[in-house]
Amino acid sequence: MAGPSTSTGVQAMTTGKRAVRSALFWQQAIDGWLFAALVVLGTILFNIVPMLWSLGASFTKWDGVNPAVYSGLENFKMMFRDRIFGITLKNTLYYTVLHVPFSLAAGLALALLVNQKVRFINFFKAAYFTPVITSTIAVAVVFRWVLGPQGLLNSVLGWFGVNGPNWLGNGTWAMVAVVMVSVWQSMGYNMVVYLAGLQGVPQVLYEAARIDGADGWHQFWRITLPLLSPVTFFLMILSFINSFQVFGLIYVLTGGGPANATNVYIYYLYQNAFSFFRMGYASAQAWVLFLIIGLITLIQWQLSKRWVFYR
Amino acid sequence: MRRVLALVTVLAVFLLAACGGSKPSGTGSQASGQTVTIRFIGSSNPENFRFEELQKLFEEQNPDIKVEYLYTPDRAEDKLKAMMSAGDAPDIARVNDDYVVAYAVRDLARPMDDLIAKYGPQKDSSYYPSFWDWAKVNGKHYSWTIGYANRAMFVNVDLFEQHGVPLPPKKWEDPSWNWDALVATAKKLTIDTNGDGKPEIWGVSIFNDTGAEETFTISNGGTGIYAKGGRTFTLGEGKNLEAMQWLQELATVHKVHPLKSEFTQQKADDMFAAGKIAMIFLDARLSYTLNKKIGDKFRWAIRSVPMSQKGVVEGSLDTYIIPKNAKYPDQAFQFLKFLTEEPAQKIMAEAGYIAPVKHEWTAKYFGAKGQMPMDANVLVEGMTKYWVSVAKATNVELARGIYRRELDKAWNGEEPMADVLKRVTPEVNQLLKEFPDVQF
Repeated sequence: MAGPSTSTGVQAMTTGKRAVRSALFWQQAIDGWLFAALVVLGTILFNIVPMLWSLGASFTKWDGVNPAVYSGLENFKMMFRDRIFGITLKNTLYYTVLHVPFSLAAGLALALLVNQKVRFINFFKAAYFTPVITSTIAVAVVFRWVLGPQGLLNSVLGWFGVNGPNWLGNGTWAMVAVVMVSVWQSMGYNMVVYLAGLQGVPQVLYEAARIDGADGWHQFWRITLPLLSPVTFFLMILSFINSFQVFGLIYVLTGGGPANATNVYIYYLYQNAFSFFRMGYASAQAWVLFLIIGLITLIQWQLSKRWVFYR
Repeated sequence: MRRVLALVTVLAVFLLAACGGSKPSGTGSQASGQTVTIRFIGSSNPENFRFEELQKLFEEQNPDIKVEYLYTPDRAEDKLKAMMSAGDAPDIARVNDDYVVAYAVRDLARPMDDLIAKYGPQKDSSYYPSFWDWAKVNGKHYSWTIGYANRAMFVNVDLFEQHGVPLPPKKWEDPSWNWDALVATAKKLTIDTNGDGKPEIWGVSIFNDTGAEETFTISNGGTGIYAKGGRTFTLGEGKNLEAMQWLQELATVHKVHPLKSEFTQQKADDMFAAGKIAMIFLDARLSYTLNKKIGDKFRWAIRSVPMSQKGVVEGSLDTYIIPKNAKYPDQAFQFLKFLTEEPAQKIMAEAGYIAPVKHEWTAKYFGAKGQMPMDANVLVEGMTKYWVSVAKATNVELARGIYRRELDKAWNGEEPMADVLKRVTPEVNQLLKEFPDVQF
């Protein structure tokens, strides 16, 4: 009985396998997409579509209710003329420059503190993390009292003979006060991430350092900190992004005052959108913020090559 | 099998999402005889104006209309705008009287002239003139006022007596109760009880109530916040500036008034209720909550506002719009009309929530049930004879967002009042130029 020649047979087998692989590939791809469809469709409907809508709105004069009227680049040009916009951008940068390093440092300090095998350490870990999961509004309501002219903080300072300022009513101290609250609320999260990072530092490095006579500070500076640099980089990116979007604390603690001292970008954006009938302008602000955050993140990525150490 | 499972899951979730969510309650059938529910959004505590009582009465008289109150204590108007944006406008919205023009010029409020013609009431002289005239923009009636909220000086009678200081006069435009007299009185009642150099009791609080901007400037012979026509911001000019500087000096020169920053922890009316302020310029709508906060702690009374050249007091209007896309404007207006008739006016006036819209009701009902402080008739007199309405302009909220924030620097003594107002005037004037054709 004649059969296919060997080369034809191999070719036929390869073609057959390719056809089968191709069919299997598509089958799996469709299955995968079907399972992911929910998230993908949700992301498109609730993230991508509103973003595109907002991009369109940024080129219109729109009060948020009536039909929008195309206005070209007018909203973007208005930002250069808007004194308050400049103030809010400056305040947001100021907040970020204060918040990011302090919240990272506080998180690292806490992580080092709780990275010990002592009794009840888990209780302390939970206690430090609790502010992270507490509602921002609840935190702000309580701190309005704590930071009042006759509030808890000034009372405690008074025990040491220090006359505390009117934290929330003084233009110089108001932003500092907001940062104190935001650092308190966010350091628990940074602590948890740093703690995970600390578990990844090989103990053998510390042993070797001790043998070489390195003290605690040198071990921290030469081993711990460099090996935590990827974690620091990750937290820094997140902190920057979150700082530029601070809103809840400002809304309750100061309402942007006194005299615009704590009026930040997103708070002004909210007012334009929902109080001042300037939804088009607010949309433009949102996209400008997106570009600013994107640019800063890009710069951070580039600079990270100089100081982030990956093992 | 996996594919089927995935498909079914995705479809099920989307079907649930599409079918879920409650419909707005105002979507009842509009067929004759069917009940509709009108939604009414506002920031006033329903207890303060006895909403439940009013709701019950109205629904008894109108069995086919239900009223639902969407109590939004903070930023009610932001929520209103978001609801309108979402195509889910309520049927009635209480708005700040200063902002009615902004809704009207943007065509976000429904004119009510056809509803007034259909349901009444008839215009007559028993109403205060402003009831009919105030809400007109471009000749159309855009809001409905259910009452007035006047301001006056509220005084802590016990504090005055403890320190042997005579109470201010009740009579308006009493020449002896002028700005110098206020300062002299406040100085006697600004008291440092523990010798730390900082007063624990302040003689007066005025500029924490924004009604002071219009009241004291006009009393001094100025035009108020805006020139007539609402196109020019005049707070930094002439007699207006003089008055604003005098207000600033209460805190920075005479030191009888707390700096604005002192109010971050405790609001002015709370400080008054705690006995920390002897005299306060305040909106009478706060009487209800003050009664609860003060209780029997001390006696308090109402006195006239001190004058410079004439007796004046700015009063707010408790006013409501029917949003442009309200589902049930007819039913909404019927409820609003009910609120301006007896017994609704009696109920709200006796609660101290508003001064009624007719002369005779003001005299008859305001403060009648003992909810008010002593000498409530002083408030009534102020309202009937010395009342000025809030200034009208197009972009008031935006203007305030600019100039009021900057005024904090003056109220905290960080900058001279003249410099602050000079800086903000061009910016505010630019905003007022929008909608050049509006007439009010």
